[in-house]
Amino acid sequence: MGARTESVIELLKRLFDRGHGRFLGMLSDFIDGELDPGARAALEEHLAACPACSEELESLRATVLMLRRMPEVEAPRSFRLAPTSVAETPPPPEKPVFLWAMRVSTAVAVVAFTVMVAGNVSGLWEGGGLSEEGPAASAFDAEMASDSPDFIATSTPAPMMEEPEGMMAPEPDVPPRSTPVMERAAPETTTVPEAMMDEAEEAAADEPTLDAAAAMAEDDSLVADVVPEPTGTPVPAPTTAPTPTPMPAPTTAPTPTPIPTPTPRPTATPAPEPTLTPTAVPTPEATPLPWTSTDIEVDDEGRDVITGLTIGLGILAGALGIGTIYLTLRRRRGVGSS
Amino acid sequence: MSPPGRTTEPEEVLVARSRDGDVDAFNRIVDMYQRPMYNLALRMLGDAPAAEDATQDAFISAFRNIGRFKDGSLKSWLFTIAANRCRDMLRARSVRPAESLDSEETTLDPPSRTESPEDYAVRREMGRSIQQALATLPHDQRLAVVLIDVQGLAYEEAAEVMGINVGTVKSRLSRGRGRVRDLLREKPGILPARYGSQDRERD
Repeated sequence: MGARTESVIELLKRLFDRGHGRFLGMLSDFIDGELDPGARAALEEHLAACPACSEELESLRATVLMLRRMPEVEAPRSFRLAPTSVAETPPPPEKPVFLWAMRVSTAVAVVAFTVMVAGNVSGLWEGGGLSEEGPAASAFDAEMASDSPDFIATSTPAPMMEEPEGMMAPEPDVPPRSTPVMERAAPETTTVPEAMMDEAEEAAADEPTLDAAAAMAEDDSLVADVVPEPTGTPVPAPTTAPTPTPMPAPTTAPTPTPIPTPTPRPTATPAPEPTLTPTAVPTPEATPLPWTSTDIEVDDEGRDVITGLTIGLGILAGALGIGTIYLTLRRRRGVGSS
Repeated sequence: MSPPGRTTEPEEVLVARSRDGDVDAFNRIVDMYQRPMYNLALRMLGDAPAAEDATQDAFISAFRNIGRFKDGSLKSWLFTIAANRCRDMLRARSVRPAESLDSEETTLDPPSRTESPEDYAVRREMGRSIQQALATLPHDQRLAVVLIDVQGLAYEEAAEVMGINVGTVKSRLSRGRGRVRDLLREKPGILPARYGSQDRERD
């Protein structure tokens, strides 16, 4: 029974509170005389019986009074417009869309630039960028080389053309022709060289001459000295190389004859710098000379392109960044003043 | 700048001439409304320099767009532009004006000749408290209170300025006033001590 009474009291209290709240919400309108007669009468009746609501009314009334009494301030200056300032149409503010486009493109340029630089530093492009052209062509060349020497001979001229004509030396046809094949093929089978080293050494043991030839081919200056007589091919202009047609490496074999050093290493002896010879060692078969001057040449070319691209991207990113900052600042300033 | 005699031209004529690009005519409109415009901006922004900027911007904008003013209350139209400008500025700085009330001294009239220093001090303190309370209101409630209680606009005018119906104006005004009252209550000596005020302070 007691619990029931309590809940009834609670309910009544809640009802009363709700009415209380309802009346409180009417006070503002009441102060302004905006209540319709019915609501007004109900509120007045409630106020008469409710000191709390009366107090609310009084405090609100006092607040409104204070707000209404807030002094009106004189304008600190004249806001008249100067004919000149109004006559000229103001520059349209940069549209946010444009600004955002600038920001996005700046970000893209910066990211691209970063990737390029990172790629350059980490050497990513040596394998990636250049291989685009390299491996495909090299594979082709390699096949052709092993299959038909004739084909090689005819195909070689193109690369040869680029060789300095001043080099006139008869020997060039061999090293240049074989080397590109090798170097291009190399990237695909990076492990090959070591395996070849073994083979090479064995082969070298069998035929030291070959090795010597390779060594010769390796060092241009050396070859230039030695080559002339052996090939016998009467001073073929590098471009017209076709004549010496035979297989790349094998053909060179005869050339070294003048220096028939038996052991593979000894080949180094004619050469002033022995360091070069080891690399030349693996050359015996048709796939010799992994890294030669041409190799580096192609690399440089690619690098140049990439470096150019990187610099361009850097400049672009910088310019975009400056432009974006300028626009942003201008816009920010514009918000306050115009 | 214009001869005082010409200021008697009716508002519609001034508006029409302003539409034709007559800056002189528009400047006479400026003369008529710059004080309420500035006060509106001042109460909305609580910062005299910002209020100056807002007022000037509003008049420039009004002159450029006077062609869009068809009929109705020129004052309401001008107030709408000023209120929008204030809202944009508040958004841009996204700082409650309360924080920039250091310039509050400039938001009050200087003491009048008949006013004692004590009265002026009280008035100054009250003005500061009210301005601070206003600054804590949400923008729409603040605008309702400023337009109706400070500027003395009718509900209908305020509804026109705010672009809402009268019922919404009333509810915003009611909430705004209640909030200002609650804030003033927290400061001793501004609102008269009340019956049961100690108990009610918490709710």
